[in-house]
Amino acid sequence: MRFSSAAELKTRRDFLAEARRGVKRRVIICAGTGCVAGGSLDVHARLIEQAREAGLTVEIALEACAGEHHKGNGGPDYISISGCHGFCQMGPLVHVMPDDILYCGVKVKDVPAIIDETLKKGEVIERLLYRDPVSKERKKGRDEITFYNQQHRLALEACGVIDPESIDDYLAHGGYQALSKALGEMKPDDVVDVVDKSGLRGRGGGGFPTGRKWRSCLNAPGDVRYVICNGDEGDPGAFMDRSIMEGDPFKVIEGMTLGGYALGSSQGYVYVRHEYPLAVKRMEKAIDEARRAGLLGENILDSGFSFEIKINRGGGAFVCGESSALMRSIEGYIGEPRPKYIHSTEKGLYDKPTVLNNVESWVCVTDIVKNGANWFASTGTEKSKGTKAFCLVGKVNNTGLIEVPMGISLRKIVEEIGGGIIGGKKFKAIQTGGPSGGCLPAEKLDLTVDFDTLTSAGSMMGSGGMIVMDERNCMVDVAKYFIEFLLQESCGKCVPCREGLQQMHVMLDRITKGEGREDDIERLESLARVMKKASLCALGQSAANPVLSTLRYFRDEYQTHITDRRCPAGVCKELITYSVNDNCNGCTLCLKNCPADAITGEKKKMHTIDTDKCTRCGACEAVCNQDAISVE
Amino acid sequence: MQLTIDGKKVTAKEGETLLQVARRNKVDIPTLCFHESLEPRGSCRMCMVEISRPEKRHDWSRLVASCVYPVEEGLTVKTDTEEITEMRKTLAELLLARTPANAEMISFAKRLGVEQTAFEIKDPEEQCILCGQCVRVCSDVIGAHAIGMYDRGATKKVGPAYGKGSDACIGCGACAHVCPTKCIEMIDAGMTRKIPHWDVEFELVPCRICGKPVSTRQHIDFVRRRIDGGPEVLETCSECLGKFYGAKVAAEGHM
Repeated sequence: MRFSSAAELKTRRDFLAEARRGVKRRVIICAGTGCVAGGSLDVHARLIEQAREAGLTVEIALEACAGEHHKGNGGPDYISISGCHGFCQMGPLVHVMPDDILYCGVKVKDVPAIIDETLKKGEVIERLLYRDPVSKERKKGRDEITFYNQQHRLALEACGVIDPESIDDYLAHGGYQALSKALGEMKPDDVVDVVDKSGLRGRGGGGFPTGRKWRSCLNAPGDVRYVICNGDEGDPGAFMDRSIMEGDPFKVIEGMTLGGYALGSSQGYVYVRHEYPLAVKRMEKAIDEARRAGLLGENILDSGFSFEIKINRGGGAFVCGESSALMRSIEGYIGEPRPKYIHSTEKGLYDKPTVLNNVESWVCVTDIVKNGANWFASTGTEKSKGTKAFCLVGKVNNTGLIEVPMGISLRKIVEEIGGGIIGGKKFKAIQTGGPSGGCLPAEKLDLTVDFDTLTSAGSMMGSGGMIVMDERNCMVDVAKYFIEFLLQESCGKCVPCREGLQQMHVMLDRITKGEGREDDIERLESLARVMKKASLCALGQSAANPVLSTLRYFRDEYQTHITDRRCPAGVCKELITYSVNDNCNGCTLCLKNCPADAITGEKKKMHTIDTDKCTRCGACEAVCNQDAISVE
Repeated sequence: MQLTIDGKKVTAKEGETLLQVARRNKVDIPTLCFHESLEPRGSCRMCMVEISRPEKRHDWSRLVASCVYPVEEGLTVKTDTEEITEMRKTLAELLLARTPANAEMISFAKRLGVEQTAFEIKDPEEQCILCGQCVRVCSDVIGAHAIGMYDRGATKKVGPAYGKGSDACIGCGACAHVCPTKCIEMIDAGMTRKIPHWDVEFELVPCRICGKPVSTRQHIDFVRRRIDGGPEVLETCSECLGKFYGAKVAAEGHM
């Protein structure tokens, strides 16, 4: 259906919203990358098939939920997929509304029970509910689970709720209200104004005020302007943007279209990693649907405004997430950053004024135009407004995609949303901001999450990776990991980044091998200073952060590696010894699992490890349930 | 417009870079990836200078690559602060660790006061500093596009596609000419030219007058497609051209 006016669009939206109200139960099967890998699409297919066989009235399109034939029977059950629910660790997830029942780890074999007990009788299946790792209690739905109820979802509001492959679902959820409003009631400049007043700062990491960026593009001379959506998310452990593109692609497109209108641009580009096939597929599908609906393309809603979006797939280079490298890549050149003394808002893609924002920023734009600047600014801190999506991973009980208000403390994220450290171990550090960010220690847990606080503590907001570490993480090893990552991902254009990272890696590597030199710490610091000041782009300028922040807060650990040739966390293989302690009850589990045959001992007698044979793989420690393996 | 470089008031035109203005005013700034005939790349970072605006913002200064930084009215530029000197030394040390045996790099580092590198040497044979001058001259000046950068980070290399001798190379030797570390060898022996670095070999065309080699057939044909010149010009060596035209001009009063 093609909408040629805002009124037509509204009629359709009202019809769909009515259809939605008529639904008896909405069953949402997560089809984000994680749950799909866990088999959620099979669960989805079988649920529809078997529910129909069981005589239930099942609809799989929202449109079909309307109509007289559904009246009087309590309405149909509407079964659909959705994007990421966030709680990936517990997937595949099935959410039943309006009952708010969240089933975790659902397999095809659980489908009959869901039909018989929940869909037919409205009963809850206890065994499929989430079990709180601390209290061991079963929790029924999102409202009861701390992972969810401490979040504040704006950007991810519909992600995990609506069917990302259906424009109807998006419309029924209030989609394209922002664009109707902008095209109907606002001048392009008003759109820039509202974004400016909202205080939105770039979600890609830098935190540059979006309104100011747009204004500077508007002021640059030229007839042709471009808008770009940066979906080249590459930080290890981060998948916010992927989840948004997979879960709410229309909202990204609507945001970009608003940007195009505000900036007088008729062409947008979405740059997505090739490694995100599902995001590419859903974005492509959404672009096609939006175009068919007349919400993209020529003369949108008869406003005279035309806008197109093209998808560009990245070849897997981390540096292409850097804006100027990304633009080079779209142009067909090698993804190398250029010096940004002339801003890309003046000379960007094809040397034309260009606004580049990341995925999360674009969906914030949709919300801001729809709900107003004050609505957005009412959440967050003075200088960091709104919310921020993070990917909480590492050694916490609950991992996944979360969204929290700016200004929340790190402690709340780790202890409440994350449910604390796995196995009751001690918290050691939280790494934020991706490879260019830093590690903050326990003393910093009460810091608030906002752009400026994290930066002044030596880390950064970044795009939203958050990796929690416990006492068994070696901070030198962590620094080495990130430097190794950056070494592989540096484009190699400028000397300090390319050569500096190689030399940093050499030093870190020898420290973790017990060959560190007394002056290595000092040399790491002076090299870091040069890299920070002399590198060409932000990747190089921030590449030393993992080293600098771990040196700032965990200097002793470096020193112990160098002076005592010891790894206190028991990680660096060359510096540790495994042994069996008195807790051993001779169960032979470690002996059977040792790949090096380094463990000997009789049943029910204490075992011993031959340190010459031991390869320090840690298999014994992992299988031992008596806590009988010591690492020193 | 007016700006100050190392205490000296200088004038500059809109669109110039700090490096251009500094060099015109005899201020020495070391560079490795810069060549006046090429678009600046800003990658060696040797030309970093400090900019500030003391009369406007007394506590603000910033380090920028002068080869790409456009001049601005009233800017104060310092090219040799202690911080900059130390930074250049570290960069030179890093490059020396990359190309420890390269004579050009050794003497470049020496000029900055660096005698040796404390960094680890990965490949004692390496000669290339990846400044990209050869690539830029080949594509932007000559227009042959025979070589490029490939791979990234620590394994970045420069060369023809797939590392194999490429038909696009015309053997003009411009790459060898601009290379600041002189690591691209061009060997003319008899009527053969080899550039082993790019895995290419060419027959040379003899001068129509003296028989000495002029250039490669591919180079001559490449030039012919761009300018209107017959073999009498393009297949004559520069020495004979000088003599021939010199005599012609002397006899006829014009060319």
